[in-house]
Amino acid sequence: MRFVRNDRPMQTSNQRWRERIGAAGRVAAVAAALCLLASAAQAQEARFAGSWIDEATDLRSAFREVVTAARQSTVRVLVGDKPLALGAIVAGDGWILSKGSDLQGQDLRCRLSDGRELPAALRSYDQDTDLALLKVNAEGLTPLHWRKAADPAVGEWLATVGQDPRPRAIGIVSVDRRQVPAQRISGVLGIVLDESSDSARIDEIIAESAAAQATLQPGDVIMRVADKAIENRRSLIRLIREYEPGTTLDLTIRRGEVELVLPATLTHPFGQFLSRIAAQNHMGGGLSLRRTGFPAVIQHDTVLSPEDCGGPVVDLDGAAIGLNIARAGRTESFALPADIVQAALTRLQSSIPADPQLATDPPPPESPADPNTTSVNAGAQ
Amino acid sequence: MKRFRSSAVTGLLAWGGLLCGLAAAAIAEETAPPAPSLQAPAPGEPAPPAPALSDAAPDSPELAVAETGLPAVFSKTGPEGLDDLRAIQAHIRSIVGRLTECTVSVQIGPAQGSGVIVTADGYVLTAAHVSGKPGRHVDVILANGRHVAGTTYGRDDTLDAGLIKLNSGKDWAHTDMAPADSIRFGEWCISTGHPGGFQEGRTPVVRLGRVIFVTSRVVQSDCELVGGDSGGPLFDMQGRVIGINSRIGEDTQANFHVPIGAYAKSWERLVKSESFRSHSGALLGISGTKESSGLKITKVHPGEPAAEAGVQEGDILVTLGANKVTSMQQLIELVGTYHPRREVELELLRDGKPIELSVRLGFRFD
Repeated sequence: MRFVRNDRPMQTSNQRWRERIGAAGRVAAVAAALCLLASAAQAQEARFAGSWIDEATDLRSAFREVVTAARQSTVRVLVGDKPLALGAIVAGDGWILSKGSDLQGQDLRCRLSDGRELPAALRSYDQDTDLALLKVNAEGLTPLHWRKAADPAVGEWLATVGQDPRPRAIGIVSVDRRQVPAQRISGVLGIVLDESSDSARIDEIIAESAAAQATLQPGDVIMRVADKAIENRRSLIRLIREYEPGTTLDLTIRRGEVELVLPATLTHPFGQFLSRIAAQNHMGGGLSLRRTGFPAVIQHDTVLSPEDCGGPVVDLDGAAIGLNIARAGRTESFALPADIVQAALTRLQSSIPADPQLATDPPPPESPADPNTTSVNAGAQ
Repeated sequence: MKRFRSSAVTGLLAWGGLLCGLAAAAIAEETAPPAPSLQAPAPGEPAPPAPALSDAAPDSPELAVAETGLPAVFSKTGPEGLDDLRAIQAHIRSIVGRLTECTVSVQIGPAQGSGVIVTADGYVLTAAHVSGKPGRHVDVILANGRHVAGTTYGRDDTLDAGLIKLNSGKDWAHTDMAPADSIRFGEWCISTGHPGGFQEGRTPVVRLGRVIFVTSRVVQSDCELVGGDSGGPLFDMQGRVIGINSRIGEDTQANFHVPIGAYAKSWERLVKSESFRSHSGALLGISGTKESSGLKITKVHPGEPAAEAGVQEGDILVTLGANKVTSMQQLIELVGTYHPRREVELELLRDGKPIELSVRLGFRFD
């Protein structure tokens, strides 16, 4: 899509830019809307994750001086050519924090702001915050400068620092600091319930879901799950949520005049099937695998790719208010506040084993010790 | 506003995902709605007057900004440096508290959405697909977590405009509705709402963006929305409601809102709890005059759906979708009962001979 660039004479004619960009804008807005017809996965790789109009008006350039200092303290964490995360330098002799659950694989490397790529060793991992402490062999690096004042307030600009003169992405604070309880991953049956009915009557079977495999049909009414009677839609939803992916449940259903018992094996939400809301949440880009279970986050509206988490996010004074820790949904990105990061750093430094070969790697997300399911900060479900 | 050639355009509304909260949100694949019927006003007390509107914005953006006292940066293409960023930030910070205060969570049966209070006596704008039929009980949750009872009122099912009223109280924190035609391409905007559904302890979620598309039937912004945001407000920089969250598409920029004009223009019908439809925005692309057998086509607009389908000047349009065509006005209304992009069959007379053509309706940009 070719954008109309504004050449920006000293006296900008606002009327003209609106007309010029407006005409292109109408077509581009439709094109952006049409983009959904193209493969979302293909679109993600190359495309900048931000807004068309922000690019057309070069919004990110206004933030150049905001990110200049913090760029020195920002690294890109890679495996081969694949970017895994961003990271923050926390000590001049090469200690770096990043988002641990995305750092899978051997041969991690960090690319510094001067372009040098150095091998990085993962030294320790903090489950509570999903932060990992890395070490590169370097001297004289610039540690990140943290904001000392209170949290940034709702409506304040936040710039995500990358390795370019312009920020990687920008946004505003959306919600004040709050805890985000860990969400246990519930198994998925794969049905849409009839909303006009109070009973657990199936309206739709999602293709290739647990329900489809179990040969459930639209119109079936679910009477029992295992040995528990189902009174209404809500009790079915509550009950199914209690079971993990992979659990096989005997469903007693009424089909017309007949009662059948069909076993259904619940699927994993990150597997073949996503719920309608989860699907919507995934519309517009991938989400971080570990995106819940944080002691405190500052939520902001920056459109971030998951691999752009782990590094500094700064205020208009260029001070880091925290580290981006998750792309949590279509409308939300999370940053760990500076004080939480610093407390985690203390824990991480004291937990480094004497023998580096005994360093704890963050568990891969699919393992039973999934960070999403076992957080000491688990609040209400 | 100039009509756009729409034949190459797929309807923005045709595939957008509805934002209805935790209930299943289906991609909107609508069948042709029934013909609109203008309902007579209900007898009894007259409808209360529409809420006070701010003064109409003048034509020039610079003048508009000066008159409203907004910082000059809001009339620029975009912020040019740190001073501009600070000015934007200070302004957002000065209005955001009031905006979240007026934003509510709305729960009706299994559906969850959002809304915004626009009058002191408690009228709440929301989306029609959230409020549904008139007369239903609503559990409204204010930004401070307090629960208040409300009732659903009228709705425009085409434009997705819905109305709720809080059942009691007269001093509700509220914000003004912007004038119907004041929305500008490129203007800065703030969206609030409860994405993902109401969460205890989480205030309405604030997002900043810009208007990237506007017609009388839809506003598009780059404020990302998701299920649960339906019915929530889009504000301008004066803190007035300019849109209500309605649908999304795949792209993070595909966020669609009901323009505020849909509420202002139909206020009395909404307050009287009417359920109605308005013109869908579908486009055929002809002009004609009434004739004994139908509509004699005097102009086939180049590039528009009728032209693409092979309709010619001089043809007489007899039926559209098996409905008899009796006048230009009736044809406009009839086309408005179909969804944009819908394929419809035309029966025509060409040189006295009956022919049939299939047309894929387009999308009006007005």
